[in-house]
Amino acid sequence: MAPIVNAGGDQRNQRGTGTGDSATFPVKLRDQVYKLMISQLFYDGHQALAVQLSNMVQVSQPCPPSDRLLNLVSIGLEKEKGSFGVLLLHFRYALLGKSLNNFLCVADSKTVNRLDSTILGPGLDLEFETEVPVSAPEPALYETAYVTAHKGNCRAGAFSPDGQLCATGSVDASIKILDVERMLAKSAPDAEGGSSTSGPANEVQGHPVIRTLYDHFEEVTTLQFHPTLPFLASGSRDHTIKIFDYAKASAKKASKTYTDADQVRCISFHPSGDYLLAATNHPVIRLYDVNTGQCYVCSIPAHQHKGAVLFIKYSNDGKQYVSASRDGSIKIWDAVSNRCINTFQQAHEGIEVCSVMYSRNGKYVLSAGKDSLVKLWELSTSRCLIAYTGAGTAGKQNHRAHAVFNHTEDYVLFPDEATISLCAWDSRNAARKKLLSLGHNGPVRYLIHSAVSPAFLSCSDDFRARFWYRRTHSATH
Amino acid sequence: EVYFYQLSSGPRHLDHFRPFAKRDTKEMVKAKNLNLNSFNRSDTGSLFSHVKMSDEVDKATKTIEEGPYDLEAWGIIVRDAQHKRIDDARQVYEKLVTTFPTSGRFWKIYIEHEMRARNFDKVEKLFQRCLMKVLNIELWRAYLSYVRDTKASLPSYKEKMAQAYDFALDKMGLDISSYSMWNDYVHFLKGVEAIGAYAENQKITAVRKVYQRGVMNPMVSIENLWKDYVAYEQSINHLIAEKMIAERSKDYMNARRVAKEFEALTRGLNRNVPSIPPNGSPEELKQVELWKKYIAWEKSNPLRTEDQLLLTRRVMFAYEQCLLCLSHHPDIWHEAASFLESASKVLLEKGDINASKTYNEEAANIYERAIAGVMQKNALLYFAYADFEEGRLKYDKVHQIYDRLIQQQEVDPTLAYVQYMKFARRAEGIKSARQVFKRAREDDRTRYQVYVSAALMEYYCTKEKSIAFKIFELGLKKFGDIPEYALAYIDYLSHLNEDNNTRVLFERVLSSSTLSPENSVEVWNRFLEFECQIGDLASIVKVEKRRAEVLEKVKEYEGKQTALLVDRYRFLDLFPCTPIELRSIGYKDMGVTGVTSGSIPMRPLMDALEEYAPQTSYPVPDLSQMVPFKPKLQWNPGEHPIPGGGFPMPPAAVSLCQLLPPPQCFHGPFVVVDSLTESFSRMTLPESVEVQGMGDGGLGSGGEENSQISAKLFEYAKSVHWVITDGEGGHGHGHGSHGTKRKGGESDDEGDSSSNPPPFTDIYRMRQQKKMK
Repeated sequence: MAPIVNAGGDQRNQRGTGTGDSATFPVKLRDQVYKLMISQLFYDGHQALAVQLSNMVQVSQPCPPSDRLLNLVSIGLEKEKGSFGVLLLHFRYALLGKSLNNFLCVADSKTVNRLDSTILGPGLDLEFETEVPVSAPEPALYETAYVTAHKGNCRAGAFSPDGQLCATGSVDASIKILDVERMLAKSAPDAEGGSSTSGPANEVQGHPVIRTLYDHFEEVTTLQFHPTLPFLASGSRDHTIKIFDYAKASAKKASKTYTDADQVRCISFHPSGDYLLAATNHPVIRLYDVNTGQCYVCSIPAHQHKGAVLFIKYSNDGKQYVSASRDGSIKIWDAVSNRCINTFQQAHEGIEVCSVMYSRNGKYVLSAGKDSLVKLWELSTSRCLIAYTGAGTAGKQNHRAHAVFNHTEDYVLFPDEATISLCAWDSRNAARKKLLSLGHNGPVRYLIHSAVSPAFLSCSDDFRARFWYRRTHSATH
Repeated sequence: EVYFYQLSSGPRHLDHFRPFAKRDTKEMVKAKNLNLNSFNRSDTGSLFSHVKMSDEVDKATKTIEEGPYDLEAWGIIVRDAQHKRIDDARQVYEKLVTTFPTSGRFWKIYIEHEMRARNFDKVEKLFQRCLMKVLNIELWRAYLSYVRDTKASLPSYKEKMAQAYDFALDKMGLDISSYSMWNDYVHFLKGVEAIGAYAENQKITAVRKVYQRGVMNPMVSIENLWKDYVAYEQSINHLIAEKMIAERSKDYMNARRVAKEFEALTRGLNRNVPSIPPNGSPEELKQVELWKKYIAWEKSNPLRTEDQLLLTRRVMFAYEQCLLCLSHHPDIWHEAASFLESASKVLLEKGDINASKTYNEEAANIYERAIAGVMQKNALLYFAYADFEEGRLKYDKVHQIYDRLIQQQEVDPTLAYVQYMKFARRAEGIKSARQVFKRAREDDRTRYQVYVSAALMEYYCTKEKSIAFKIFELGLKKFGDIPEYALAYIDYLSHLNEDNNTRVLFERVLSSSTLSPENSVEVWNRFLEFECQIGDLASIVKVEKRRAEVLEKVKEYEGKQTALLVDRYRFLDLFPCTPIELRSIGYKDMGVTGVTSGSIPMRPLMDALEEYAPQTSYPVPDLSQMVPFKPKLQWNPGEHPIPGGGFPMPPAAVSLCQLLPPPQCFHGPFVVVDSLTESFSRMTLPESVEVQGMGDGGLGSGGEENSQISAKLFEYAKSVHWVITDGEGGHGHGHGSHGTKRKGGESDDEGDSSSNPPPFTDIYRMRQQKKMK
């Protein structure tokens, strides 16, 4: 049963070889699909549509009416149920009972290594499945579990990879690290239906803010947790990137400082944790070796952006990274050679691109522009696949805003500036979901979702960061 | 009675069928505010979710038939059942509580549904079934409120209620969230009407007793109970109150401290999670860890009590709580029983024989509960139980336990028989063991291991070789087709050093054709090994050839004679080739399923091969393809191919720069570097240092001598020809005598340098003069 699990590549091959000769030529295969579609349309009596389609795609031969497509689809669906269906079912099992052993008995060892992704379900992969049973809670159901206040506008946030900690950074140059479990305990609703036990219980537990770090001289613009070690990296307008070792309770100052020559806008850790990408007001993207502090850049000047780099993010497998710039372009970079391998010029009609992030499988990139549009880019075909529209209709967006996936990639989240509410879409069909009022008194300047649990942080100019959470049965009591 | 059911939102979360029992409107409003969102959503959501509902329930029912411990599916079913009439739902509930007999939550849901239907006799029966087994605070609270609500009209209400409270506090009083129970009891007692001084006094005594027990009991909100108690005592009698409170306050402080620790320790512990078989999920591991921590903490005697009984009670309460959630974990059962066993030993040492006996009974009881309940197929607990009873010399009991395990139809009884035989041998002698073996032979479920074990027992214990032979022969008739059995027999023979018999056995096993070629390969391997040990080369080659014939049949090793040769020379984990070579030869290990001790462990070979497999890790940035870069604010075009920076210093220079003090620290004097380096290059130092001899003794001794020596050193330093000026040429070389310094130089200070005031800039000399003075 092992091959099932590696469905990604295998299935594509199976699909191809199934149709014989044409499999080796995707163009030819596509042509055949269109022919089948036209034949089917004729067969089903949609003459006009069939003619229109055949004119549009200019098929090589005329197509007789035929029911073959229907038959093929039914065979295919049957087959899919037998292979990928099983996989999905087990994903569901894993999701539902959290009973992984059900899943593990069909999974081979490779998948076990990627246990985290199996717990969270298949993620976003439009090549195979468009109607995945959505298991994640809708964003509108999240509730504020904790609010923390800075002495200045709150502009940066981060979740640790295991989702146990989060951090907020502010214009007042301070950084706070918060313990997710303590925040939840603090706000736990009276599970016992009004019995007085949990009231005083809350007073006993520790404060959610476990560290306050004060080592920057200016606004903290970006934060990121180290993927494996207890380090928090921060970038600031004071031209420095600092790394804090938060395992030490007494640490207030950074354990490492990298000095740049420009205001740092965004940083991203390589998944190994040994390298750090930094985006600054300068168009050149820097790669820092975390251990030596050495800085490297792409050797080809023409590859660089033309304007300030606003956002940067490694893919989960560490093979690529993506950058977004004020010049309106999104660039995809090869992480090994540090060269640009693709550029989406004018990704948001030339308006500056504020955020970019990879889907878990690295096949898609989600971008948000200052035009209040959120777009999903398919990297294999280098095109915009889905545009999530509807945000920004109540008023023009003046500040940058960030679009993120939820932890299962079933939803796309984006804060709407004029109404200070959270727009949410189904990530697959772009259907708009209910708005969630974020309750801030100023524009939301940073939004980040936990990678493992239904939780996100909204950081706002009203000096506050709100921690949102959707409780499940295991979280209560 | 008003019951709220929170029926909100997504179908995946069990908490939505957590019932909310509301007692007064104030609490209702509070809860409503808290859950406002979910209530609203459920109204709109349920309309169209009903359509999907039946479909989902069907699916969930099917899921449960496949695997009865799927919590999500149960969630769907239970939610559906809650909407049904109780008569329709009862069957589902029964199945639920048999699957999760330790889940207080599920019992409570069942009972509450019955209560809504006002089937009070059924409710009572249900309580009888679960209360004693399931020490869940929620369930017990439900019980108390049931008694309060239904018995109020009875004339014996007060007694019944008091009994119920006493009972509940006895069982659940140790729970961390038992405050409300204590508090309710006190209020109940206070509310009892007492007429006459005697009754009044009795009432006070009763209330005081509950208070005094309560304020010593670590729990959340213990402070409130203490406050109430203080107020209560003061309301009765000021004078006595002070004394009473002073007496209790130490215990209270202690309990409060422990309560704080208790609370911190059990945070994150989910006591409502239904017990399911271990599945290794991270959440489960975390819960197990938390439970173990909690239990270890209780064992460490946090109350620092001298009372061994109280300590044991608290630990056992922790175990009981843990077993409600982890009843499928054999280790918890065993640890609980062994704890009781050791507690009993402690008491025995103290001379409390009765209590010690009780604890022993309790330990047996724990085992009994385990193997009668969800762990009835777990051989480990049976064995542990049997050994425990054997330790108490209750052999009848042990026989019963083994009987029970052997009678479990779904469990392979082989291991049970092996252990049973061993027990019979050590407890009752070899005769009894033979009886067991006879029984095992008659049981057609047993496998060959029993024969091996019995034969070896005869050999080792009674030293009766012939009986052992007979047993092996007997087994060979039955298990001739199992290579492991044959190998065990062969092992036995070869260890007896009976070469000929062994060889005959090999031939018999291999020629009998009961072994399929695939299975015989292993025996052939052993045969080869055997011949390699004791045979001559001719017989080795012969066996090897015959083995090759068999391998041919198995269609492995076709045309790979060399690979077969490897087997002749390998020893333990030593191979005559490197792993890579072995792979290229096409050598494959054939003894992978070897159970007996003779098979050679192949792990090292596998590991060695693994090393050459590509490792899966993250691709790392290739720094050689990039340019080093130092971001700069003021950038000059051409400084670096990439705008905005320059080349950084080489790493060695960077590290040197990091060692140097920052430039701000230096305030002079400023040296003319060129002339300094020049004088360094032209300077000559003497070959040997004469003052060394005096320096040896001088360094450690008194100040007087010390300064004298340093003066001498200074003299010596002065004697070195430090500065050679241009005019001197080769003239001054080699001079070491006093006074030669600057002799022929054009320097302005001739004569004794110490008498002349040095020039203002010459800080070095100024310092020297200072020292001399």
